[in-house]
Amino acid sequence: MEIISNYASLFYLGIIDLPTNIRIALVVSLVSLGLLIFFYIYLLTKRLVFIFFRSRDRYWNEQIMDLLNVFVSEVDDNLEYDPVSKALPNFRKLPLHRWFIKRMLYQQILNYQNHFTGHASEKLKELFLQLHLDEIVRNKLKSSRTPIKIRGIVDTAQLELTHFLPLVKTFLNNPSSDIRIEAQAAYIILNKAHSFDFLADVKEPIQDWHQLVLMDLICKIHPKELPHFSTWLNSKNKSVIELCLKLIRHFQQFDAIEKVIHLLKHPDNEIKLHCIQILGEFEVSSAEPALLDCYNSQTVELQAPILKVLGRINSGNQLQFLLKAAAAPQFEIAYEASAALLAHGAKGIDLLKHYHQQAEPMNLQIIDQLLGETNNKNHGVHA
Amino acid sequence: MESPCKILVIEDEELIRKVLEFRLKKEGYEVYLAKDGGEALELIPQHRFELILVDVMLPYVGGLEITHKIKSDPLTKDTSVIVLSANGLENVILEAFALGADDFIAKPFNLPELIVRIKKHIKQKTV
Repeated sequence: MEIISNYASLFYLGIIDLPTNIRIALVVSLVSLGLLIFFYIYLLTKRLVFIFFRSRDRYWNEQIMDLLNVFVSEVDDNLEYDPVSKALPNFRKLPLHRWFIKRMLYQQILNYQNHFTGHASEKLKELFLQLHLDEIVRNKLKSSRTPIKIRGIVDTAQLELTHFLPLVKTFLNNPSSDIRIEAQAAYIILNKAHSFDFLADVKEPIQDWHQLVLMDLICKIHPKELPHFSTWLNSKNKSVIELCLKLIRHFQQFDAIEKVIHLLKHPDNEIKLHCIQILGEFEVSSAEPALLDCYNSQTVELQAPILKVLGRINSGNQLQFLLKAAAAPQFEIAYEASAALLAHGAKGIDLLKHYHQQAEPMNLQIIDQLLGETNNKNHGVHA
Repeated sequence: MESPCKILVIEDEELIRKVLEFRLKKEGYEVYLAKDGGEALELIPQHRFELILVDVMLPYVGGLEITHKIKSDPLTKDTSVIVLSANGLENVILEAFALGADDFIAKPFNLPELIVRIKKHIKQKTV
């Protein structure tokens, strides 16, 4: 310090007699030079530190990968001994007290587990637990930072760490939609016996794309026994009802028909539309009276699908109703009703032909178009 | 002494490459590795491989294109090709077989199953 202050005084005494502009120029040059040197040293240090950490990580990563390669390759060699007990001493030789090595091993086991199925995958999970790496998952789950928490939930689901189920359960209604989504997906995987219990308690809406993610997951994990999704059709959460209706439709749960018919009285039009589509797809003739009741109190947006469904059910009991609708002044109604009559075959076509003589110009055009299509199809078949 | 069968593993994922290398060497095969399509296309004419394991998604040249090149070249058309893919879509599988692939394995895969299939294909070739 004393040396620096001596040099500073010498410098000051040296420049004191010089003109002001030269003094300023000298000071600026000196400061610039100092900053330049400092900047170079800083960059060099940063680069050296980066190189050091990179080579250190590469070295340990290779060590870990070598151990895991041997483990995965030998896991099926001899079923008489436990591969985990055999490999544990080697893994314990790693300096796992050093945080970065532990994290590296954690990440690599997850990577390996992601690429292999069967015995290797199970044993990797066992190794993970034996090395107490699940503590890292616990810390992630308890982290206050959303991305880390999400990573923890994803890792929990990947390794199926069922002992973290109570912790995951606490995130099911988390204010963050990202956390909620991952937690619900993880819950389905972790709680195989009652995968969908969470639907009873979901307070926040399940977004459309998240419903798709959940459906995709359900199809992938193939639960041994699917629950009756109609159980949650009385939920106060509209998105839960929508999801359940989609699942009922996908898994063709015919036992839900009664509840679906009952839902036609739901105040929400989207839900009603889902119900109408399911009843049509399942071709439920017993739903016709309920559909007719519903028809009278609905707007065109729902009346048209109801007519379409009546055509699909094709019971022959609603021909007069359909004929009346075919004469409606609204295009969608007239079109769907005429198409539904056509779907009934000869009886419906006869009625349409009979009505043809007195139809209004628009309705006439619809009937001509539909009958023309039918004739073309028939000719095509004959040809 | 009979020389060991040569197997080429074309896979961009280092982890899978290393595991397969270790395991296949242990089974007594001579293993060559390529991390992308370019490397693979350089190696293929240099050696006479009995079997080639190729991933569908590869940098530079895709796995299906490599399969097509192997199977359309009179010098390599008899080499068995096993296609690995994380995308088990029906059209990918059909395309792989249409291009001449001998087998298809979806990722993630069961290592013993893959080894059994490799052995089967090599045995068939030897017979």
